[in-house]
Amino acid sequence: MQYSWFASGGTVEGSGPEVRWNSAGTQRGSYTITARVDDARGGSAICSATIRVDVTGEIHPPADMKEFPLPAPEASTRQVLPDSPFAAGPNMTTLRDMDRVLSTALDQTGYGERSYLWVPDGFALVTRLEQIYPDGRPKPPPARFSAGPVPLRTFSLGDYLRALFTADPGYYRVLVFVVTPHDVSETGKKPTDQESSDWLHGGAAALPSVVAEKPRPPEVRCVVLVYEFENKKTTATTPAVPVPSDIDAKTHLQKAGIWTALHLP
Amino acid sequence: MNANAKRTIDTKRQRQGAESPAGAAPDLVRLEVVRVRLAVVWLSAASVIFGTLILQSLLGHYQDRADEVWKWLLPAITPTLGLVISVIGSSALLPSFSGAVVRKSFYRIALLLSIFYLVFIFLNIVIQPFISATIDDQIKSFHTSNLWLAPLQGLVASALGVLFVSKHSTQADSEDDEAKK
Repeated sequence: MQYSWFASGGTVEGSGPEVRWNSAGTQRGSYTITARVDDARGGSAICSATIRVDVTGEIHPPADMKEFPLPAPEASTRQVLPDSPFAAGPNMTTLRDMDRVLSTALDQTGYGERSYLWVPDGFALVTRLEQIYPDGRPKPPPARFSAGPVPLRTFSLGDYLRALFTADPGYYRVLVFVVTPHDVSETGKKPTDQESSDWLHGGAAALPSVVAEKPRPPEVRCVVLVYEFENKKTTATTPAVPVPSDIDAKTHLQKAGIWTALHLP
Repeated sequence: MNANAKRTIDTKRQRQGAESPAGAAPDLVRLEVVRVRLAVVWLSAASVIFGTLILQSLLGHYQDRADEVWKWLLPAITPTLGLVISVIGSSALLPSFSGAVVRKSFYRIALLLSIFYLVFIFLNIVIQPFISATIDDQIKSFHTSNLWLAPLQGLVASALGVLFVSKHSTQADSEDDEAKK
């Protein structure tokens, strides 16, 4: 008996009555594998089978997007956002719809500059490094988005006395909204403030359409990673170091106004 | 003239009598009075300045660089303060007042110079939250302030040196001299 195998895509590995079809290099679509058997006495038979290839996960970012590292660098604190703002419905069918909800909330709370990075089957939205008070409130402009420590610009007795008498380290925060159906684990390695700066400046200013037009995955979630840094303000070039947060991620979002802007209870 | 007005004038005369020696011109003031007033100004201001810096140091405001700030402050205050205290202290041991007098104009100059100098030092500390964001910037600012504090300190030291160190002929000495003649 002589067996012949043909495939419209991929490769057939092995020979004889049992072979293995390798789908490497194939795209989404249907592929036909045909087997022909000859008995060397003029008899033959043909049998075909169709296999459908579906792409369930992407493992490489689009060309115009940089990747947010997953597992993620160790966050100061984290929170899975409730599903309600992103609940499936006629207005929530694509990743663009999810981005619209997040972007609207961030615009309302002063996070005008943000950056988009790629994660499998979703995106990561990174806010600009901002200065905060120890309780999580953003500092008023221009100190809020100043990269380094700045002197007091407005007089408040509490702020003044704190600045005059205490060490008053500067606290900084970067928020990363990771929208993906996959688990968002962490590496255990803290990021540097330079890395967090690279996330912002290396990402896309808007969600690229190649990602935005993708259907909203059914199991998608939004995980907020809060990266908090502390700067001792010894010199102008003293680097900010990542620190564990004294407050939880929900409080960070509440103090930033994002929780309310997302209409979360 | 009613009784109240007379009493007011009498009180004023008594006060002037305490400051100015009997028979002295009205623009003169006793040296001891001048010294005590300047000592009060210096001790009060130094207490506030030192208190502020002690609090800052204890609360870790300057982190590990508090010694640099104290190195800036101590030479600016302690020499003059030490002079004031030691002269006041040595005068306190004398059995009687010297009778020396000082022109009020010079006393006012010395007083104003002292106040300006001490206020500049204090302002230099308390204004830092508005002009310096880092400890490094603050210490640089303190060193920069020496550009105007050092000349002012020279003037203050000259004025106080006259009042606290220089020997003057007292009015009593003058009267003795007149009697000998």
